[in-house]
Amino acid sequence: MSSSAPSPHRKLLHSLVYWAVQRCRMSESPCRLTASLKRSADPAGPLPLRISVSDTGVGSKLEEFLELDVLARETSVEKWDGALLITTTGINDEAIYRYRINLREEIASARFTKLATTYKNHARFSGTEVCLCLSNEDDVDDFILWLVGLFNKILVLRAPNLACELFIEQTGNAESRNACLAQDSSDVHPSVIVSSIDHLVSGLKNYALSHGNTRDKCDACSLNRDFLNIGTGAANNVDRRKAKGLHVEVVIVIAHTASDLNCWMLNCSSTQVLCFEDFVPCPISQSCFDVLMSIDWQSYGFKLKGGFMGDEGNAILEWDSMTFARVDIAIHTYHDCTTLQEWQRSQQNRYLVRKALKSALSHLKADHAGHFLSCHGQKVREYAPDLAESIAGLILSSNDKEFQDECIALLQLDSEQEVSEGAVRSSIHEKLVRIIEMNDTKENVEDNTPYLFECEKLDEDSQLDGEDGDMVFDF
Amino acid sequence: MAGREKRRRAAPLEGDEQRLRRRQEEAALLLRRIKGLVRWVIEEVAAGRSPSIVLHRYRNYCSATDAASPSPCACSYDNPVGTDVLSLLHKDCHTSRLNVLLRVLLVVQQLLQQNKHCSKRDIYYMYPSIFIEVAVVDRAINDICILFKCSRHNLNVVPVVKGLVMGWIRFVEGEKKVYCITNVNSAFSIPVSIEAIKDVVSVAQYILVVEKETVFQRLANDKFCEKNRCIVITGRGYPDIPTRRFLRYLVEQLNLPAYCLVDSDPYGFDILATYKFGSLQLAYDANLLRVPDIRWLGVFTSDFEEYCLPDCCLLHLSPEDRRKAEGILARCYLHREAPEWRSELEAMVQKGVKFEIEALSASSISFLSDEYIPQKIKQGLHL
Repeated sequence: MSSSAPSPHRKLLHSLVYWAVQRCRMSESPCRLTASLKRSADPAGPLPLRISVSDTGVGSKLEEFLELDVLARETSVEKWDGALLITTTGINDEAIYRYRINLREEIASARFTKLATTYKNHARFSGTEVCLCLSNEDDVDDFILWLVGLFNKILVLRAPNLACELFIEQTGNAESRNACLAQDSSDVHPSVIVSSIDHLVSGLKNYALSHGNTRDKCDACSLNRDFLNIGTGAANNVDRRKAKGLHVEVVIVIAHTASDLNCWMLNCSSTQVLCFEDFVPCPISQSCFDVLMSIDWQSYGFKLKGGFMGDEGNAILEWDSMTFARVDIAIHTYHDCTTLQEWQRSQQNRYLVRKALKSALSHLKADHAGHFLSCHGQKVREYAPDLAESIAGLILSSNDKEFQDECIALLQLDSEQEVSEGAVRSSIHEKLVRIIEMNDTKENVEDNTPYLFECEKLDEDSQLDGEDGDMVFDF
Repeated sequence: MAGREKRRRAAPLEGDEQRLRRRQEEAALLLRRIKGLVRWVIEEVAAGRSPSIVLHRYRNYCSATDAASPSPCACSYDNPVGTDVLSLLHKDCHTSRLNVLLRVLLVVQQLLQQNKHCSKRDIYYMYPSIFIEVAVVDRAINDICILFKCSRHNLNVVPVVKGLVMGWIRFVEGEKKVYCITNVNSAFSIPVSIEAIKDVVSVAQYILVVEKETVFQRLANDKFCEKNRCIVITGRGYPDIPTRRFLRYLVEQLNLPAYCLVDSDPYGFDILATYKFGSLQLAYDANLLRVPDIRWLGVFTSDFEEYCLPDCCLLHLSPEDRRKAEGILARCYLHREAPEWRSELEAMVQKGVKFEIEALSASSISFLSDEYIPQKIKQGLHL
């Protein structure tokens, strides 16, 4: 894929897909989004790249296309003439309307040309199709790869009630090639009750199991689906006037190294963070990237070595001495459908992203304390075997049988039978590890006011109290 | 006349049986305390709580920030200045300290139960992978002493002795007779533990502590003790615990004055301060180890001119010497308890020079034994 900054082609397609998804979201029925691309096999051929993006969402009010004029001005006439053919109808409309928009037209009133209208004859449906032609240049292969990647990522998100498909058709010469990328029928959840974050969890799991969409399906990894660790976190801004109705959802999927799976033998030392805005993959914003870089990863057992923003707006996090096979992170920021028309596409809310990310990490830790112990906790846990051995040794090497029995009873080991040193040690070890895991968050440590041991406590039952002073001072 | 001097005998000591009984009682008490601690640890662990042990932090001195008007500080020989909490919850260095503490305690429990003794080096080699270095064991021993309010010898951990003694004294150490008095010019090892000392008899008039073994040997060679009724001790550099305990014991039991002779440099002064005030590392026990009334006999910066010593013996203070001296000058106890000593050290820093005790032997090999020390003591020229 090209490493250059996003080309106008990509920006244009991204915008068209973005608005198609939003129209689908506003519709109350299940919708379909289809993108199709026709290209000539001969790059030098006269046929341009013909693109159509269609959806069965609510009808378009055409306003969303006006923002594309900036793009039209950035792009040379050879690449795109600035024309869009739009066919749209609302659910209550009696006709299907057709327009031609020329975004290069300086005079506003001359931009829109209304074309022939077709009547629906009382049929009830809604939808929009946008068609355009782009020049068929050398970098079209890269462009197509990018488009496939975009749709794969849309499938990761699996917006509820939305089915997506992408058709690519190559014509000319002797052969004709068709490619199709569509959602598995099993992936479309009929139930509307399933929340968007659950869809994201399911999609990100698939993404992880296919090694980040680098292969269709990894059979070995698919067997491991249930062993992935999942952390989810959500935050929203329902009440605040600013950015009202904004939601942020974060999903983290962790795959552990499994020695029997060749594909996960090597630990992945970096993570490409998937960012979505309003159910469409988007470049990461600077503020969101800053949040990723400033999270206290160490508290959750991750050692962040560094991170950078790629040319395509991807955020890459690099890990130090990674103990997991794969870490996948998705951040989804979206607005309520009801407020969708009121806001401008804006900066992701830093505060909400941080809150959701921390919540996802805490969720991981709460469910799998042992795996996500903070770096500090991991260090402390390394002492547990030695501590257990010392304490067990102090009990069992004592020549006071009564004391031994008392300790063994406190450990709830069966003192009737001969208790082995190993049993005492592992009982203590297990308890110590549990204490370390339970107290691994700052909040827990603060809640757990320690019961302190001071020698004075022992003196209360000491028979030699009177001689305490002697013991210290009489030498 | 000398033979008719009043013999000084140590205050009546316990009989062997009494002594044994006391030691057994002390060991039993410590064992009970160890069991109490272990029981408590188990209770906490069983209840799902981290065992958190409070250790008092002791400090016998600090660096007073303002030399001109030192504000009262919290340093004390008897009271802690703060606490450390060893647990699984906070700093991992404290967990490591707890880990080492419990492992050393395991060894100590076995020593006390079996009435055996061993050195900290022996303990280190029992679990070198846990302890990493001897200093860690040393710290754990201190922690245990602070926790159980006892001294090192109570734990049956015995030090390796490096100190020497000679002069007008005899005593019995366990089964061994240490009769320095029969040959006052011979060096004897200082006893490992004063608990084993009995039947102390001395006709000495004072105790002379010298910093270095070379000076000790010079005095032996000059038959200093034949001419002077005294006991000479050296800790061979920074004194170890047995040397300091032995000196303290002699000063108290025989009620003798003690004089100290060190090099005129910041390290000599620091050694002198260790005898008088104790060390920071063993601050919790400093009050039992120090000799507060020890007098500084020399050598002073002013001695150089006083005794017309040759210039070749005089050295400039190195930057490191200066740093060391400045660190010592800031110590609160000098402001509080020994302003005269402090002024003398200040004079050394001002002049920027240092010299060793041996400089006194430059013109005459026996000058130190024949004139310097006897004169200073006779004329009371000490601080």
